[in-house]
Amino acid sequence: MAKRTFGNKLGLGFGLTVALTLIMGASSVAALSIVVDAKDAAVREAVEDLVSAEHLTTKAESRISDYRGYLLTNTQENLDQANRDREEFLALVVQLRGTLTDPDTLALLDAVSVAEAKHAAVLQPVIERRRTITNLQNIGQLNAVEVTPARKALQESIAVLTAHIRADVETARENSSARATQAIILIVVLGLLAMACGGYIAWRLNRDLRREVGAAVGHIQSSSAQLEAAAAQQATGGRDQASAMNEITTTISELLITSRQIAESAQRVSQIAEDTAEAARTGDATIDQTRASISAIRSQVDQIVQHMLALGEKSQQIGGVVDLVSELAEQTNILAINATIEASGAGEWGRRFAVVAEEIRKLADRTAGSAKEIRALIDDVRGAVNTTVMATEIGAKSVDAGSRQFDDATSSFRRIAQLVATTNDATREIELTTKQQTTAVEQVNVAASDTARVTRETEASAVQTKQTAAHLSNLSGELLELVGTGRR
Amino acid sequence: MVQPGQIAPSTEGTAGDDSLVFRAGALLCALRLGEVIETMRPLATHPLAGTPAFVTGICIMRGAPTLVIDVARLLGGAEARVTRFVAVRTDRGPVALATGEIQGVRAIGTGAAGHHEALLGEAPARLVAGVGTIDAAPVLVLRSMRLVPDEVWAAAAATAVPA
Repeated sequence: MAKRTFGNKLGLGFGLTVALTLIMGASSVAALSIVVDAKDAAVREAVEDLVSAEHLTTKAESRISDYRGYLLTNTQENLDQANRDREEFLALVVQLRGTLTDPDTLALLDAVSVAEAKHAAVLQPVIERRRTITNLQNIGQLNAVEVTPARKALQESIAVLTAHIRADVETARENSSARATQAIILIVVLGLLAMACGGYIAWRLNRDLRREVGAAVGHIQSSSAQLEAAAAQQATGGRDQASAMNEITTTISELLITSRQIAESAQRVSQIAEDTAEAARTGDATIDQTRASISAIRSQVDQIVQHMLALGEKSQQIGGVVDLVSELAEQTNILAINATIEASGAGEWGRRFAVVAEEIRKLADRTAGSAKEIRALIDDVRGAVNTTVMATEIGAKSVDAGSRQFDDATSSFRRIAQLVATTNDATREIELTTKQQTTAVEQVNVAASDTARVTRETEASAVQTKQTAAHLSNLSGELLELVGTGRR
Repeated sequence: MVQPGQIAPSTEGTAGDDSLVFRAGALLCALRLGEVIETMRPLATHPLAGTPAFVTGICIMRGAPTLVIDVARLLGGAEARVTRFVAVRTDRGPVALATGEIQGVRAIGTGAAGHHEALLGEAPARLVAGVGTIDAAPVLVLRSMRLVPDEVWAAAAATAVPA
């Protein structure tokens, strides 16, 4: 029951009470029905069986009277009446046989039937004799000595049956009275039980009411206190938030000024970028002139290389001539020596010739020495030419490398120009974006002002909430007093 | 005293006869002009098997096969660059001496010291007639190829360093 609502508990208690009442009512009705049935049975037995038994006596006596009237008067009317009485008597016996259930009573009824049959059997000869007697002067003429015992036996059996049925009726009455007493006890017990359950339910509802409502009210009271504290904290936070929003508003105003300055700076940067792009276009012409100069230098270097190669070739030709001169000098040397040898054997004339030949040999030696020197000089010239050609080729390669580097520099310069153009576009975008940002900051400023106003309103609402929470706490205390827990 | 560059007075035969001065490796050698037929550039030489080491081979000189003797290897036993052939007269015909550069015709004389046996070796093996000087450089004055006996050639062949 702890998880059910209090309304459910009330409904459940009411339902239990109603159910107990219904049970008690149904039990009372059932008990009354049992008592009524018992009384009905007793009354029926008293009314039907006992009356029928008494009717048996009446019919028997009526038949006996009619029979006696016939014997006295010998009229057919009395005989017919006596026969109808006997038929009614037998019909009553049949009726009783259908209603009686007690074997002893049925046995007594059988005894009545037997006595009646015996009585009829005894009576029939008397009736036949009376029919023949026209003048009855003496009753003894009928010779009805056996009739009286049979009649008494019949009357006695009927009396025994009637007494037995009366005893049965008394027993049924006593039984029905006992049933009624039991029903009264049952109803009283059920009533006491219903009262106990009702009391228990009322006590339980009262206890749950005090416990649960008290607990709920206690929670409400503590929650009210917490709400009050939270509202106080919210009010304090609202004041802090309001002051912070004021600072934010001030900061946003400064930010707005800064954004405008940024927009102006971006505009100046854009102007500078345009100037830079113009300077880059001017630099393009200078680059073209420089490239033409480098090409001219390359051409001049190529010509120098060609001239130096031609000089080397000429030097080689000179070397060939010098080799020829050297060869001639060597041949002359050999011839001069051989001439000296030949002259040595030719006497005085030969000696003079040997002197001339020696002079020729010396000239040839000088010529060979000069040719050797020229050869060395030519070799030096060729070496210098080769060195110059190599240096020139290195220079040409350097010019080519410089040209390539200049191309790279040109590409870089053009890339810089493109980047400057891109920077110009980006700067314009920055300028536009900064203007948009300025607009957005203005909107933020308005929003911040609105937020500050809302914050002040929130602070006021928090104060109101605090007061409401305090009032709610007081109401909770009063409700606790009402439910009887007494907790504050 | 003989000064450098001067021809020392000869003590054998005619002193200071004109001689053809040439190099043989590091040595300066001289042959009297009477022994020399002519000088020429080196000719194509064909090596011969079974000859001494100083015999370079034979060449065709003036249409005749001529024996070629390497003077540097003959005297010093060392290899030297050959730049000239000098044709000399022998009893068995001309012989080509493979020499270095020819210095010219000089009058070379040899003093007493130039005939010392310690310098010239044993008499049968003498190839050098004497030792003179040119500008303080010693000059080996070779004997006439005609006077070199066969024993000397044989001894030279026996003592020569194999190539």
